[in-house]
This record gives sequence, C-alpha cells and structure tokens, in this order.
Amino acid sequence: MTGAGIEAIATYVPPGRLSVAELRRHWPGVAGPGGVSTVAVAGFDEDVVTMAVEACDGALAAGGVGTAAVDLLVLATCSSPYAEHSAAAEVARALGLATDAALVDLAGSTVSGVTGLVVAADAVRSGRCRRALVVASERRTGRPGTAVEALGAGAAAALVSADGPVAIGRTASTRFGVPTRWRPDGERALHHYDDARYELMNQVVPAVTGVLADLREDRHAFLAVGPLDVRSRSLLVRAVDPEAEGSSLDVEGTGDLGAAGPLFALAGAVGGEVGTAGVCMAVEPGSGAVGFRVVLGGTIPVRHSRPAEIPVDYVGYLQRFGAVEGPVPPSPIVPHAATPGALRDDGEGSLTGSRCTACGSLNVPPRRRCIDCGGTSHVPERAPRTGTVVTYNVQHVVAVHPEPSPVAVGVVRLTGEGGARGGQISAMVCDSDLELLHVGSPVELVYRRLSADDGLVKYGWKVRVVPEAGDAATTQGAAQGDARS
Amino acid sequence: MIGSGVSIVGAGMVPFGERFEASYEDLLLDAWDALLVGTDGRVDPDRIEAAWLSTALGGLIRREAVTGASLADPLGFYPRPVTRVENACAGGSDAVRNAAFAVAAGVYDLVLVLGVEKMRDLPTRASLIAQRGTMSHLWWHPRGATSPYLFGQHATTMMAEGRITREDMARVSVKNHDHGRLNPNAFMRKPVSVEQVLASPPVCEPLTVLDCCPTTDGAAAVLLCRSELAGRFTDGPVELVASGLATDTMYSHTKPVFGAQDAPTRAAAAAYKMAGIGPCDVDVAELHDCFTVAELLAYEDLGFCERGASAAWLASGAPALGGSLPCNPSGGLLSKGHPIGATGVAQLCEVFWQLRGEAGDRQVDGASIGLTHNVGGNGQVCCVNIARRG
Repeated sequence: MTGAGIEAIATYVPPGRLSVAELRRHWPGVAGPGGVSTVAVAGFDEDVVTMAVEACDGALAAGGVGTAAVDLLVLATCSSPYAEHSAAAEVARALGLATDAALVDLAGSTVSGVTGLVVAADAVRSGRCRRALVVASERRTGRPGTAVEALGAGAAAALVSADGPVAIGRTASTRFGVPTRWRPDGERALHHYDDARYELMNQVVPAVTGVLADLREDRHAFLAVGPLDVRSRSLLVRAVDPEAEGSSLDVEGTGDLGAAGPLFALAGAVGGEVGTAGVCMAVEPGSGAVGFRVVLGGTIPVRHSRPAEIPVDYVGYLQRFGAVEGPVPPSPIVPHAATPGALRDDGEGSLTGSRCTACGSLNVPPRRRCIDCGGTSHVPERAPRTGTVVTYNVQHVVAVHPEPSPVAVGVVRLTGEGGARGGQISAMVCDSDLELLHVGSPVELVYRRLSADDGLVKYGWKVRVVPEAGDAATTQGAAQGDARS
Repeated sequence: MIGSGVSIVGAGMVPFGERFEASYEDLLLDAWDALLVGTDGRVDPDRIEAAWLSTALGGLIRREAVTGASLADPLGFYPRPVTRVENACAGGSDAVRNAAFAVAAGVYDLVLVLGVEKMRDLPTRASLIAQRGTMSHLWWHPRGATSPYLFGQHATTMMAEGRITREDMARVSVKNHDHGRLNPNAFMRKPVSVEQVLASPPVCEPLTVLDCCPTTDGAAAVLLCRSELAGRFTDGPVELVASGLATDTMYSHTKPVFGAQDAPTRAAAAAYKMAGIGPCDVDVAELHDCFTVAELLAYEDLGFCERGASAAWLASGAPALGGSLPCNPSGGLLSKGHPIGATGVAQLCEVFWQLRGEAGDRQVDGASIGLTHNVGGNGQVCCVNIARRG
C-alpha cells in the first residue's frame, strides 16, 4: 500500500464583498458572522461550478500538472446549482479533463470537503487512481436577518497523489449531536437554531474532541478546522487545545465557507515547519466530525486567486440569491398580454367585430377592408354568442397548459348572416364531451382564461357544445377529455 | 418558358433526418458540397453570381436572425449578393422562383438556390407539430391550434362529406413510405401498413403520427442558369419552364370552404399556362404531403383528378410508382422529411434527377415533365414549379 498526500493547494475568493457594517445597518443587533469585517459574495454569473473551476485551474497550475494526469475529480459542496445532476461533470467539462476520469459529487453536508480528501487519499492508496483533484466550493446564504445570513463564498482545490509531500494520515470520524443548521429541500437559505454558545460548546467541541481522541492526537502543531467563522474557530481551538495555533491559520478573514472551510484552513496551515504534524477536520452539528492527520513532509505550492474586491450592498446581496428579483427582459417570441399588440386587439375581448355596410359580412375581429368584398365602410357590432361547428380537430399533441390534452379546436360559423369568409371564428372547445362533438354541433361562446404571461391573464372566448336532443344524458358531468381517457 | 429561359444545371441535398450531430451551417455546407459533386467539376463555384437562401424558422428556433450572410459566411460566398426568402413552408419553391426570375431578367447568368432548416433541436411539443408561429392575437391563432390542425380541418370536412375515409388517408402514408424506402436521402425508410397508420398514436384526430411528416433537419440546393449557357455546365440540363404562386387569406376561419384550397389551384393554373401544358401532361410530381390529407387535397387542387375523386384516383394506383402519374417518388414530406425551408428545393432536386433518369430504384420511366407543389401554412400561399427535360 502506497501513501497519499497533497501536492498543491489553490483557493479562489470571488471579488464581491458585503461588509458586516452594511448588514448591521439593515439588521441591527444580529450577531455574526464573528471575527470578520466583510464576507465574500459570488457574482451574478458565478456559482459553485465556476468557482470550482477557478480553484482547480489554480491547483493544476500551482502543481504543474496537466489535465490529462487527473483521473479522479471530487466536488464537495452544500450549494450546488443542481439538486440533481452532477456539478462535478460540469467542472470536468470546463477543465477539459479526460472523459474517462472518475467523477464524485459529495453534497449536502459541510463535512464533505474533508470527506472528499479522505476519499481521494483512499483511492490513491488503493491504486484505483493516480492523481485526484479535490475541490470544495460554496456560495451559501442564510435567512435574512439571522446570524447565518452572510456565509461567504469561495472554493479551494487540492491535488492528491501518492507522492504528495503533505501526507494524509490516519482518519477518524465521530457521529455526534443534533442538527442546529439545516436547509430544507427546495429552499435556498440556511435555517439555524439561534444559540451560538450552545452550538459551539455543546455540539462542535464534543465532536471535535471525539475525533482528536480517535486520532490519538493530543499534541499537534495545528488544527485546520471548519466550517466556522473566525471567532468561533478561535474559541474552539482555545477550548480543545489551548496551545495550538489554530486561530492564526486563516489565509484571511473569511466567513463560514461550508464544505470549503477546512480546505481554506489547510491552505493556511501547510506553510508550517517541515516535519511537524497537525489535523484537518470538518464539523457539522447533527452529524459530527471527520478529520485526518496531516504530516508536513515538505513544502508544496499554494496559490491564492483574489480578484480586486468589489463592494456589494445589501440589496445587491439579496439580488444575487434571488431574494429580490429584478425585471425579466421580455421575450421576443412569447406573446405578452401587455404589449401594444394586445392594445390593438382590445376589441377581441369584447367580441366586437365590424359589419360591412356594403355586403353585410361580419368580420370578427374587425378589419379595415372587408374580408368578403374589400369594402372599407363598416360599423362595429358585437358578434353573436352562438354558432355551429364548421370543422374541428381533437388535438393530442398540443402545447397548452394547464388544460389537459386532448383539446378540441375548430372553426365556428356564428349564428345569423355573416358573409362567406366573414361570420366565422376559430376557438378552442371547452367543457364539452368530445365524443358528442361533430360537424354542425351547436355551440355557445364562453369567456375564459386563455393564458397568462408574467402573471398577467389573457382572457378570451372559447366555445362550449350545447347538448342536443338525445345526448343530454351522456353530456351530464362529462369533463372535457374524460370520454377519451 | 420563364422569360428568355432558365435551366437547372445541378442539384444536391443532404440525407434528411434527425441530424443532431449537424449544425445549421453543417447542413448548408453539406448540401453545397453535394451540389458541386453532382456537377462533375464543370461549374466553377467562383462564377456563381448570386444566391437565394430559404429558411423559415431561423429566428424562432435559432433565436438568431437569418440573413444572406448566414449562407455567405460558411460558404465564403461573400461579398456576393444573397437574398433570404421566408414564405412559410413554400419558401424553398419561392426562392427558386425568384432566383429564376433574376436569371430570366438577364441580371445573372448562374445562381445558387439553397434551402436549409434545423428543426429537430426542439422537443416534440415545442415543434411545429404542436405549435405554430404564434402572434399576439386571440382569434386567428386560437388556443390549442397546431400545424396538423391546419390540414386536419380539411380532413374532418372531407370525411364528414363522405369524400374520403380514414383508410384513404392512411393509404397515402403507405404509398409514400413505400417510395421513400427507395430513396437514400429519405428520413423514414421503413414501409408502413394501413393498420399501422391507423393504430399509431393520435396527434390531431383524425390524423395519427403516421399521417404527419416528421420534424426534420435538412438542406438542399440547385443551380440555375440562363438556358443558352446550360450546355456549358452539363450535358443533361433540365429547363425550369414555369412558376406559379398564389395566396389566400391568412386564417382558418376566413376560409369559405374546407376540403379545397384556392391558392394551390390558382398557382397550378398559372404554372400550367406559363408552361403551355395541362395536368395530364405531367409525368412526375412532388407534392406537399405534410399530412396525408394534404396529398389527397393536392390531387384535386392540381387537377390530377376531379374534385371529390382523390380517394378513387389513389386507389387506382395512378399516383404510385408504376402508375400513370407517380406522385412523391422521393417519399414526399411524409417519408423523406420536411425541413421547411429546404423542402421546395429538395422537391426540385427530385424532379431534376427524375427528368435526367438519375433517380435509381425510384425512377419514373421516361419522365420528361415534372411538377413541384409547395404549400405554406393552411393554404395561405402555394408555389407550383414545372420543369421539362432539356
């Protein structure tokens, strides 16, 4: 069995910065994030995938490794853009990894970054892969006005191989506690039980202590632990190991970076004295902690990508998570009930047509030139509300909703004189037993919702079959389409 | 004869089908390559002076404006003039028509007509089967209207009048799939039976899936030149002797009758007059069978048979290969496929090959006059082009 170690680490922090002061301006008196003055915010065009790509690019460049050499990619995150679909596959595509590289998605827990390193080390040790790229990436938010609202954003990646100088040693995990942070399915903001001291001292500290005991690590040079904000980490380290230098290991003052937190901490720790050893650990109330021993067998390249900071105000922060939505640009294709075209068609809603004074044709909707004789003199007239079916089809493959298919659509000749081409409308059939529909069926026009664009309802006319003698019994209670299902 | 005479001196098309691997530009380039291969090296592509590009749905499907540059760019055809034609499903034939008129007017000696459509990049319910180009109006695009509905309305009327049966429509599908089996460029090359057509899933009753042409990717191209120069480019020129085009009202509910289409009748009459022939002189026809009922309508609209006699004429075997006037030897839209902007051009490709005796297993023996019938919308527009062996 060979060893496994880290050859290079890189981190990426997006340029956006929300200041804690700005947050406090809107939510005075709310605690957290502790020990930092700003948190990083991902841009409108950034997500877990794009930030992971930035970090992976950095790790590959720092390690001087080509993409062809990577045969395992592990992506760890709590904030994937997809609830289902491999975000790792998206990262692999962007990096240009070999198509036969194995992909692992670890999602849904803040310990998954450390788990990813453990999985990669095991894969290298077993000979299953030669070189793994492990990346943890996050852009989380919490419920507005809570201590966990501003959680930070960023990604960290590590290259793992048999010869990596920063050795990944013994691994231990412990299951402990009950959840104090959770994000329900379908929601984008983290919920939490708002008692920081209880969470730290009665959940985090026992879990961390348990793993340290399992690792038999009573002496270590550093404890790279996450995801915690700076103040919590400092308190934790003081509680479990007063002599360790944990609080000084941050590469910078970041907020809670979720699954990426321990990797950021590790990136700050690997520059320590060669020959020393420490622990990298992730902790999550309700699941416990997982960690491994780290031996600094040599120095490794560490690269930090930090684009120039861009201040983000609180509204901008909310917009980035969709909590406040700006206007959606109108589509050039989809009709919209508020467009000038709808204004021009306004008469349709009232079923007003034009009666040609020359030939008597009833044009519905109104026309400037009569459809039958071309005459230009006409008077407005409301169309009759009854008619008969000229022709129709029952449509099974049709792009309407929410009406269930099939739906019938046809041409209706309106009651009374209307001309040869005039005096007819096209309409969908509603509330009718389609088995009874036939050429010549009597119908009445009914006003219905046709569609809604951007929540604005477009109303118009459909037709309903009027039961004829002999088919009243079958029509009773028969909903459209039922007869054919 | 169109003006001083216009001839077809080359034709090429790509295999129609579900071409997920091919982009719009790939299809266009492949049709261009097929065209040049078919000319035996006697056409210098640099001598082509202008082009007409037919694409119907560019903006709807590609979300991108299709212009003359859409052809000029991939082919390296710029800075030569390219006109983009859009006239619903009749755009391909209309592009041929306008290119021919430019040649007949003496403006150009040698021009390219290329039709291309990339349709299969949409799922079924977003395709033309389920939708039409929608506008903001209520009445003329009633909720739930689809493309099959445009012709399905005629089917309902014709069946109610006792002019055709459900089985008659199915027989059109059977015949055209039978023909398409022989065409290497056809999309659907498996034979179907009347029973299979009737049992296939309903789309727009009474039409089933096998009554409907498939959503298709494809491209086709022809070269037109002044007839007096045709011998320079080929030993077997085909003269484009006539083109008729007619329009009708836009909307279904302004049709005075169903079961007959006015625009095709008038377009055909204009074309017959220009060619100096009648329907009985046609040896082979490529018809716009977007739906089975459309071909039955076409027999009557074009005068191939009496009004009301389409079912009997089909049953007589006349429009089948080996019959008196084979219709859609290529397999038609039902079997070959219907990439909208390319369809009219591909119809003319088939006629070109038929009149030159190059149609292989589906050859109509001794064909000397061929007709294409290309309908847009619900009969809103129709273009009929006629060609004669040179």
